[in-house]
Amino acid sequence: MRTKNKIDPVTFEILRHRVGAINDEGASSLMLVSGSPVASEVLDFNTALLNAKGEVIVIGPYILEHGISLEQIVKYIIANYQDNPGINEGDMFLCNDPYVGALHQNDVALVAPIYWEGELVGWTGVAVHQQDVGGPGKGQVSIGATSIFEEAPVFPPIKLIERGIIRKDLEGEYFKRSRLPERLGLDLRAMTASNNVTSRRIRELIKDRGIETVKSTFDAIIDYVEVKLRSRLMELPDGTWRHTAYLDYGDKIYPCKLTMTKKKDKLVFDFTGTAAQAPAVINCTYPVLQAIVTGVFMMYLGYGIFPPSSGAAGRCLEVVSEPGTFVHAIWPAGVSKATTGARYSVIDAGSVCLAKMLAASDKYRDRVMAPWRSSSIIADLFGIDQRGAYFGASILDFMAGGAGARSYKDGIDTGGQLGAPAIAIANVETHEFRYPMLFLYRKQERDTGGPGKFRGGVALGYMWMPHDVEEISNAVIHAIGLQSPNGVGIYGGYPSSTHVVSLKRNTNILDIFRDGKLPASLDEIDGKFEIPPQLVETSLKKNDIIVGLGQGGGGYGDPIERDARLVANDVTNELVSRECARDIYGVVLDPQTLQPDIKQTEERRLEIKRERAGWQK
Amino acid sequence: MQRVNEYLEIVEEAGEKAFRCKCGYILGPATDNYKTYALKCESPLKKAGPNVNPYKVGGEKFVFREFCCPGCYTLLGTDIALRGEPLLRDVEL
Ligand SMILES: [Zn+2]
Repeated sequence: MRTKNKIDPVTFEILRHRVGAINDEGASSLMLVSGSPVASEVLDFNTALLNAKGEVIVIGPYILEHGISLEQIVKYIIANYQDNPGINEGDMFLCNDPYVGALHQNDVALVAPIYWEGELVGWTGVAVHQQDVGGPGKGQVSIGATSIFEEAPVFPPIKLIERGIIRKDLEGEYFKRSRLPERLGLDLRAMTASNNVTSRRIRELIKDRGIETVKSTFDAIIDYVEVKLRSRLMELPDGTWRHTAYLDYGDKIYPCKLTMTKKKDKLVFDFTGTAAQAPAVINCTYPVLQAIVTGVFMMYLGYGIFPPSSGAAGRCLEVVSEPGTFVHAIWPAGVSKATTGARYSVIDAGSVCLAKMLAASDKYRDRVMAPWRSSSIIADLFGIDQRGAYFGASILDFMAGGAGARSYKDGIDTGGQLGAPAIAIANVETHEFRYPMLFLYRKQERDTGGPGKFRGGVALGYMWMPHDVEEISNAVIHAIGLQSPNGVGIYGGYPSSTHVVSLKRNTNILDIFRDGKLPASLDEIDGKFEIPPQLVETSLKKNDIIVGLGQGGGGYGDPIERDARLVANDVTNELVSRECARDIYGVVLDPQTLQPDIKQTEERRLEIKRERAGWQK
Repeated sequence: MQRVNEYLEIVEEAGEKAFRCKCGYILGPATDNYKTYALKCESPLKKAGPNVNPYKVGGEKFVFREFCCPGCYTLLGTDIALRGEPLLRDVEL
């Protein structure tokens, strides 16, 4: 390893891993202290360690952009707060301002400078999704908002902790707005603990190794990761790749148009031509766009390089966009659903372009991966729970979507989310214990993974109902990816499913239970069927049932090239239906054994080719 | 020869760079969109699978496009596009 910073290679090897471990310990501290469902079970957060200039040295393996975006927030504080309110040892700054760097208003960051004998040596930070930070809409989305003024409140970085003391006045101001102040309190204490643990460990490291060594290591890590990433880029062919991802919101479709150009060791992501911003809700800001692009770049090209340094990745990229588009919103456009709105379009478009760049390389062809589930169904629930207390819940089970197919193997079934290697969904039992709800099933769903020579991972489906209460008074259901699949196929691969949300009201479910049965689909239940609007605030009564079907990953390669035995396995495992096996994969199965009928399969595949021969140029 | 993807490469053909399928079929000049020279099929989304917007939320704004090689009928690519949208040129090497 050669960089301009002089540290002996053995020390560097030890310290780059030590620094990664320290950042991980900060994340573990958050989870242990918080106990909030989002921080402890869903892991919708991340931590980062930054150098004194505010460049990220390492991010944790949780939601990447949470860590990446801390760079923008710290740089803002460095640029604007030196004299007033000042930056001192023991200070911590709270921020949820998307126009500074927070992903959306519900993603609250807490960052802290790290000092050694009066000298600023770096920063530590953490960002955690909060279920409710106030504003007209319960949860994260204010349906019908026409600007950010009608969404959750925005605060630029405020010095909430001053020389180690939490300022009661500002803390009160922060908590007062929320419908769930106890949750904010849990996470605020946990974020503080996370920063304290990281700061303490860095100071111990300095005591052990010396200030100059640690400072040089911080810079050397970023340089090292940059060199590694650039050398990977140099090995890839120069070229231009394009993809359009679509965001469905309200009556409109918002195309996100990406032209990605790679020249030598640099990548330019150009979003020119992307749809104009919406008045509120789905947009993201430019700092957030930069963080998202950096994250998807790291997912496709940063594998195996430790530690994951978004500061280094950002140096290899340029992001071009037009102000006033939904990926580069201008004030006062609202952005309250940015993370499950514009962000997914950017990840989707970036994934396809990066995959296609890798596909043009003999060396990196095995790294090609179709896009993952890149859309959402969220139910933010508020009301009185089974114990008579006010509750708020975010049901994020959609996150167990399918992974994109690779060029040599299937995508991971219910693999999660690209750009969030360590996220999870809460256990069914956790949901049922915490909230007044009962799950009828949660399962891997058939025909949700994009067909292909290699199949996209299948998605999760679930069915639940209110339980032990007369109603859940406020259910804010907001979904995208209902109209078109985001996990598109590549090289002849087919797309994934779309998200599907449906309801049955006033059902006979209790009669079905009394008969000792557990329904496995909505068809087995009587009631009034409903497809809710994409964004709706409704109430759920005790016999109402809600069903969600997730998006899978995109497929890779021509489906009729898939090994017929793999298709047969998928049918046996109820991941692919016999109809899709025949129609899309061209595989005919023996109805008794569910094994491929070789002769009929050959005939069916020839028939598909004959159909294609009839297509026009 | 320059690899483009699983199925296509760019080769020199009579002094011009051209897209060639793995079967040997020459689709057309590499300065152009290969999809122009492929056999094409545009279908409603339901062709892509039974769970692709089964309730037609938002109507039928999208179409499913398939492109195959005129030489071997291998499916070279698929696109989801808005109805009437021009073909996307997805690669320039
Ligand atoms: Zn061919």
